[in-house]
Amino acid sequence: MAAWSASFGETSFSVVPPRTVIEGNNFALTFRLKDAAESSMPQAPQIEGCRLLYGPATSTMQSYQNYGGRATSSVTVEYTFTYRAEKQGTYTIPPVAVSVNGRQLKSSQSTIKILPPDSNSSSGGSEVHVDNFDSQQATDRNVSDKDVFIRIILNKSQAYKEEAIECTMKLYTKYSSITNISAQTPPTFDGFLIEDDNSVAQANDTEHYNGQNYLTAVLKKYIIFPQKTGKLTINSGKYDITVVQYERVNMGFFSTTRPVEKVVHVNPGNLNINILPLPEPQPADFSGAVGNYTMRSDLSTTSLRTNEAATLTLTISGSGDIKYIKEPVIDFPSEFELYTPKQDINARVNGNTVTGTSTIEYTFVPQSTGEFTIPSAAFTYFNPSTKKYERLEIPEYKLKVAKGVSTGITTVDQQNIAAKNTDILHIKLGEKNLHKDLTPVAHKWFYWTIYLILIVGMILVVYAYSKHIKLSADITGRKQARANKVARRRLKEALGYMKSHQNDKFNEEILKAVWGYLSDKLSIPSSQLTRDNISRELQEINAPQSIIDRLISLIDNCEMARYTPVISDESVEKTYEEASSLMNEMEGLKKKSKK
Amino acid sequence: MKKILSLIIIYVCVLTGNAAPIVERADSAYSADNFPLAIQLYQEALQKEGASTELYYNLGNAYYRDMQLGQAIIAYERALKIDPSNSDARTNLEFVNGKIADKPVDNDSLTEKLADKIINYTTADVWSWIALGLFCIFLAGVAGYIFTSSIPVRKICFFGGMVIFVLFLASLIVSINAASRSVSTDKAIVTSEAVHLGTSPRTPREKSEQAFLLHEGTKIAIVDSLTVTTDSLSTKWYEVKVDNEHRAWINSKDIEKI
Repeated sequence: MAAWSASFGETSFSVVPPRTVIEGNNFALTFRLKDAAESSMPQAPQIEGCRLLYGPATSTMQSYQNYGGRATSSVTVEYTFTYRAEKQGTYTIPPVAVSVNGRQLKSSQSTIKILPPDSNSSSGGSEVHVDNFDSQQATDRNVSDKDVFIRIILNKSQAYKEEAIECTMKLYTKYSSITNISAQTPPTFDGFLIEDDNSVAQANDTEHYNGQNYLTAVLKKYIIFPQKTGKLTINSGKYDITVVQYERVNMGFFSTTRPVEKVVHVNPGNLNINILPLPEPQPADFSGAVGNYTMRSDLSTTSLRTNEAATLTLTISGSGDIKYIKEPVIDFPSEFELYTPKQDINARVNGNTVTGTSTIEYTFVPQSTGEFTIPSAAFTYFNPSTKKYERLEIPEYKLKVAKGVSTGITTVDQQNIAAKNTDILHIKLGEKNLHKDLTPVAHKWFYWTIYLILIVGMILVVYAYSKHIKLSADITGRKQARANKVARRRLKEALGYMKSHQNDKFNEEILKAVWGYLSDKLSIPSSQLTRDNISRELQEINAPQSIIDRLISLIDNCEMARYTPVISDESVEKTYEEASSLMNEMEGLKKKSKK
Repeated sequence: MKKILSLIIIYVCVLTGNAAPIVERADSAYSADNFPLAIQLYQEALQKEGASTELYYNLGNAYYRDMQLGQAIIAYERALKIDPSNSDARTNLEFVNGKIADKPVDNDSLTEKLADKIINYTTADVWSWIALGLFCIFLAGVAGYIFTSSIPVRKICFFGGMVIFVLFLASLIVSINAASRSVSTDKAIVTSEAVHLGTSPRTPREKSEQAFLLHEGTKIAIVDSLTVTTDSLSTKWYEVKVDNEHRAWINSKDIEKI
């Protein structure tokens, strides 16, 4: 008895209400008092729509445990009130107080739902009722898919693309003894990404559906994410449900029951859902995520050394299509060597959506020293409950990179200069060299005039030069042409001397004139001229002998006269006339001979 | 000669003295991102002070920034018409051509491309002066051949002169081609946002009369022109070709000649 009281746990008082009751049925409301040594009796609560039939009925449970040398014991007293549900509706069960050892203990408030009774269908007598076990057992009645069926329930009739939709497969049955449910064709979700909820643990419940009351059980729950817009169809598959009924077998003295299995083929039918596109305009940096998220970012260090790795961690948590979030693009400085971001997702189905965290690690290694800025970026998602795009900002980070201890082995290959070419080149500043006349030079007359001038000039030069060549090619001819002119000049001088009576000068000039003339005419240098070769050369050009003789005698006379002191003016005049007439004759002669 | 030279100097002085303010204002408007004003000022400079490849280039940039791609392409094409060796204008033209709706067709043969490369190497005027220079060298060779008596010199002059003469002829042909290109007006740019070309010189009334659809900025070659008068309203129509195969008629108001 001493051990008894010593090991009592904490006293508690709770209510165990039924959740649903069908109208017209009796139900039990149980209050459970645990580990109370001594207590008062609870008062029956007043529940609207229900009538208290009797109670409380008391039952006591005791347990004693000896575990590892430690003894524990507990005693539970249950007070049960029986009510009758009289009117459909949802009602509140008020808290009930009980005094234990002078202390007041109160049960929590709860609700009860009273469902309407099955509405009578036309099929008449052999109705099956959830609350009537005998009706379920009667084998004379066919089990129809009105009595046992599966529904696929979506928690919304329209949704945005990528928005989480809860899809529940629920079994509705009027028969409580179902032994097997097998899917002949599993459900298909075309255009959806599916997330299975494996933690289905929901108590069976009575539900009023289409005027009938059914026992229900959640078979399977999916969270689906539509990937396309428009009307999408969910094919719910086909199922076989085995219901056990009991056949009454009469064995003479007594009768017994025998289980009979009946298989119902159930086809829940197709389900349509309207998927809306995300509202326009979408922000430029929209990541495609739909849901409700929060984000935290964390840089491992803000001062590091070259060739040392650092990590920027983004933690996105929330509910929605978190498993399919694409990592936000962060524009790291190009001096950083970047590794592929590592994404770690930890999410599971929670309620009617998927909740969890997605951790994204950006690992980078600075390749050069200096101060760098990781620019701010954003994770933009669409929140279907507010119907708005929401933007979570990743703050800007400033980094200081010092020289690393080791230069490290460069694992990166040399990089090509990335030509981005995303914009036009800048304008030209400064002088623009504006011209009103843009006619090309080749279309202007002066250009072609230059050619003409050059060609004409060239022709003139060539013509002139060729003439010059012709002349200079024959020096003797030129001299011949000049001979008479020179001789005439000499004779003129000689005439001057004659008039001033300077005899020897006169004769000298005459001789010079004659010798020079002959030298030029015969192309013999004057130093080589003798009387002999003169006559020979003249004969060669067919000069008459008389002229040759006269020439020789003139030369003789002149040479003599030079050394003769006194000569009459007459003879001087005669000599002059002889010389000039000789030259005239020789000039005509020369021309003749040339021809 | 002296008079002409001093006239040229005065002309240049007048030009530079006047041109500076408008063009400089336009440049600074561009730098301040006021592109409509920059366009207006460049146009004013074009009207008042004449044109140059740099001015058209800047105008094209301003049009591009103002999102008038068709006008930008026209300006770049005009810049290249004046100076085909303006590599900046060519780069920007290619960039803007990548932004327009129609993909530019490339139907030049290999020889045409080579000819383009040679002609576009420099301006028509430079080619003309090169030709003239070569002609002078050729004449010098002729003179050398005629006026010298030394055999090796004469040989060099003869064969060198022949080579130079061939080069002279080639560059003269290039310069004449380049000059005619720089004044030709047979290329145009579509200025309407989108226009259906007709199989005959009138607005296409039904589907069967539509030849093809062109968008703003597409370069076309004008083959023929025709003035149609209906109800005392005369419209000019051009027969144009986009590539070697397709020809159609387009209203003159939908295009602008380069």
